[in-house]
Amino acid sequence: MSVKKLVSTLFALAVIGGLLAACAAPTPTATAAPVVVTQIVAGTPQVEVVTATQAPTANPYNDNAPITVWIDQPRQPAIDAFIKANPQDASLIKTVIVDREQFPAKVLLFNNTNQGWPDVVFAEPRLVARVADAAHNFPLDLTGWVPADTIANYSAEANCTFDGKVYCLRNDLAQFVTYYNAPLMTQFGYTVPTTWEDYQALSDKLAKDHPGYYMGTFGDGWSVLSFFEASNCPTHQLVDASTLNINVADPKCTRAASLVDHMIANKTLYNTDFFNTQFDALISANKVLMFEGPAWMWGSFGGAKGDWFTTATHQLGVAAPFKWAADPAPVVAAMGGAAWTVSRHTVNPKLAVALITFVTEDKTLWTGSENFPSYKPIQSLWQQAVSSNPLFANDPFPIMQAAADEISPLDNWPRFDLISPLTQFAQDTYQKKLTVTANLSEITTLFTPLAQAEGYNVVSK
Amino acid sequence: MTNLSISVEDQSKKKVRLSSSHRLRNRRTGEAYSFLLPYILFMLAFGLGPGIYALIISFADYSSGLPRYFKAGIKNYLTVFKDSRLGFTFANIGKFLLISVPVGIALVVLLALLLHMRPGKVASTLRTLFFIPGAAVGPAVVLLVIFMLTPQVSPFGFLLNSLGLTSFNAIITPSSLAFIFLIMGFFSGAGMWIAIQYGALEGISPEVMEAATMDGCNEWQKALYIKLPLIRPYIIYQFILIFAGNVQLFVEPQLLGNQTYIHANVPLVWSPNQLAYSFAFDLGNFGAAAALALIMLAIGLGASYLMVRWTGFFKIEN
Amino acid sequence: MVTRWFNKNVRDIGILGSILRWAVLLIFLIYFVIPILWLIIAPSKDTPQFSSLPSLAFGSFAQYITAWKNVFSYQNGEVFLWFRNSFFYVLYSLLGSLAIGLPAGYALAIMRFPGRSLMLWLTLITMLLPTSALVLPLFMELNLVHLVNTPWAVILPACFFPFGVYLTYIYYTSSLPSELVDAARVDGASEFDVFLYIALPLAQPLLGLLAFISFNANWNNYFGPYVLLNDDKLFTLPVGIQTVLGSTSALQPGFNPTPGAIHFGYAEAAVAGLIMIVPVVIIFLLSQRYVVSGAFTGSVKG
Repeated sequence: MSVKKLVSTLFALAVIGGLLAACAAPTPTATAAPVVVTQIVAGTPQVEVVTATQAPTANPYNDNAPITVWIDQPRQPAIDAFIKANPQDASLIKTVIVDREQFPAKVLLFNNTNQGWPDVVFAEPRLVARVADAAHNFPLDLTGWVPADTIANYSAEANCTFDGKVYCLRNDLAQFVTYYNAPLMTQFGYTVPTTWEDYQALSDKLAKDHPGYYMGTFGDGWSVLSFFEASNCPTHQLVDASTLNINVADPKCTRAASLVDHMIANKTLYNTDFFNTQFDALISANKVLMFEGPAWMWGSFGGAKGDWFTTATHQLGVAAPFKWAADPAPVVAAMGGAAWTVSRHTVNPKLAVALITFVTEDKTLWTGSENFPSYKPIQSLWQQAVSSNPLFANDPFPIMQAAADEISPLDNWPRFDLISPLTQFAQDTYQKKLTVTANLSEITTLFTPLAQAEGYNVVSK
Repeated sequence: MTNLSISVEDQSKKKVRLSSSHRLRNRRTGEAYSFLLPYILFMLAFGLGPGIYALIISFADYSSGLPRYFKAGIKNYLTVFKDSRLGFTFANIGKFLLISVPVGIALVVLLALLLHMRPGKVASTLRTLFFIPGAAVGPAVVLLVIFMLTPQVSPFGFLLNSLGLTSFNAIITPSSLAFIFLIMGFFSGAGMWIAIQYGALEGISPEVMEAATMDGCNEWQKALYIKLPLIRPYIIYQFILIFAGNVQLFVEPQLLGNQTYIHANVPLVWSPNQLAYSFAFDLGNFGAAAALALIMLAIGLGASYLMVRWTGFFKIEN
Repeated sequence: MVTRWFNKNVRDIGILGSILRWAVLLIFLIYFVIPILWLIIAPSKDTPQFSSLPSLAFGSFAQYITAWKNVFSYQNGEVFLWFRNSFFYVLYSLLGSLAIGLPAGYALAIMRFPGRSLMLWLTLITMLLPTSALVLPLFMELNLVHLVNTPWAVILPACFFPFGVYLTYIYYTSSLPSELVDAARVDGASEFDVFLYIALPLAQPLLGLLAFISFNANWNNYFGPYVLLNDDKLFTLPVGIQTVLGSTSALQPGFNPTPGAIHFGYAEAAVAGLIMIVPVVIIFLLSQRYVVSGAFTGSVKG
């Protein structure tokens, strides 16, 4: 075919493409000039400063506008309960079951078409962190909408606070506690350690007296965090919204590393993630003496749907999480725990906020829940679910409640995923036959480009 | 089916056709395009249109979350080149292509030929059985990866242990990933291609096969010297499509890298398509995603061009 | 009798050849079938049994039924809705892609016209464009015509089926005798007549092949529907099931459970996988009639 034909065909295609682009693209609003909008809402003066190129929600709020709520399937009863308590709002609430891992990606798509955002989303704080940056610009600052003393009544609300702005309300917590096999502990005649140093000493004893028994596992990102975050090791410390401190040479890191090395060497640490079939088989066979796990994990041991213990009576002991002898109090990692966030684009924030405060605070809803609630006044309700459960060898509630307030500030994650690189770190350590201490720099190597790609300034102090 | 013999009269009619008038040629062109029109429209809407838009946004600045067209210059391309994961992903996909394309084609053709040596109920049943895994997606694949590759619980445990692979983490390592994806990909993709190649083999006329038998060929010779050359266009078709598909490898590394289900030593971004996805949906930088996509397109196109030119794939055989 | 067995099984292949042939076929049979067999057995086990029982051992029928019940009771049987959605989207996509692709592939194979080569190259280019880059443009395009979050957002893009056009192209180039076409042309038939009365009737085996390739690709397609559909009532099976797994504790038993939630474990995930597989197998078996013996017979002469 002739060159002329080729060129004219391509030109025609380009024109069509250009037309598509021009028609499809929303008109970008003024770029850098910040727009100050003063809204007086429900008696609370609120000044909202909107920067970036999003069209500010200049629409007056409409208390009768419908809202879309994105949840996962287990949260449906919570929404139903709200509707039952507020029947006049039944027609205004539309729930959609989503896979919340995809929520940040969908926000970007909606931003490009300037419509379609959900009003309320149930998501972990790390996902809220992902949508709080300039490109996503999703959450509404709740400080104008929820009274300050209410916000103060939520445990671990620090993970929902970004640069002073409260972008979500915590739903439940996943603080680590120490789980142990109570009959086995009695049989071996040991006492449950309270410090990491005692934990290490016990591992030596166990290795000598009863080889083939385990006291934990180290093989994926979560298990890495269970040791390192609990030591306040700054592998991902947010100095401020745009600065990340990665310093694996810090003594808080090296002490955790040598502990892990010691226990790998005396073969009391397994090498997989918590839910690996091999590790779970060991638990079922009563070969695991103890390990630190999140508050909700008791359900896996032998609760209503649990499968780890073959006999589910008085086997699961719960003790306080370990602390380092030198530290004043334990620092506790967390594995999950979600929150509720509201979109800044919503036209009915009143209803949205009413919904999220209800589902996190309502007594009836939380009675008997397997998750540990974040809202302090109802935490004692959870006690009813667990204290009489025959699975436990002792009452876990006081321990879990205390641990809820000890969650490490490092549970406030940066905007990139930590688990995958940390899993790689753990497995590489085994593969390269290094000690954890010797391989610590791999964390820096893995995290740094991820952080920089997200726009963080990476420091090491 | 109609008898397809060539008669002498047809030869002369051929001559008539060759000297058709200019007007007839134009009419043919018009008719050809009327056949193609719906396809062209859909191709523009769902193939080229988005592609051209991708070209345009590769020069757009996305730092504020929304596109500012033509403001980025070549910044997006620089972002792609400066990303530390670029070399890693391209090396990975290169290694993957090198093993998966030849092995995939060779094994598919081998199995199709072996089956076709004795066409009948058994071959038919086997073909169906080979095809079934192709329907396993998403949750099934995740389950299968967890349970087939953990020696303690796998039906293949004996085999894995005898190879010295005694744990899941020993099997899935960064250096074994290309091979693991090959195994996963072949498991789900081979059946369909075997069916296609078998169908092509079935199309070989019985007279040709009988002539070969009478010439004293055994089945192996028939397979190698008669069947194989005759299904050449389908093999080339398979090459191009497998190449195009494998260059865009996304699902398998994404499933394995998703630490929610499979806690394996797999980096979050392993293939270039994942890197583009990461630019788009982790960082919101659709411009860089588009830039990378176009780079991938250029490379894929280059390779396909060589293949097509070398084999004359697009010539009408007359 | 030995002669008969010999003629049937060993003639022209040889004893050694026969053994070799069967060994290879058997190895691959194991590779393809055992995992599927495992998947079929899986719903019969409860979670501890996945580790405690031998891998291919059957658990219990009661558990099998419970697993199926759990999956189908999710959100009041939403799985049925997704199944129905998938079925119709795929059906319409198939019809659309055939209506569009058959004439196009035919024209590219048989007719000479300016731009033919370009069309083939453009088709190839569209197949090489990575999906991740096309997502946003596609999304915005469909949003422009208000088709996002509607079934058309899934069906229309699927009607563009370059893979099928290529297959049609190959099929007609290698199996439609030019003599037939020329004869008809000379007889004064328009191209359309040739297509309708000669090419299309000969395309039966091609149709069978295209049907199950199109069905397979669209049935399993996750990325497109995931991006373009927000309402869970419109989901296709892959997207719906992925949402279920992502929003329950299915593949990570124990993670963040809630009371009253339906138990979703490995067994239910296996059921979800089987739901996806069974229809494809059925369609494959149905289209076998067209794709198998006699189908392409006589067409490939080389």
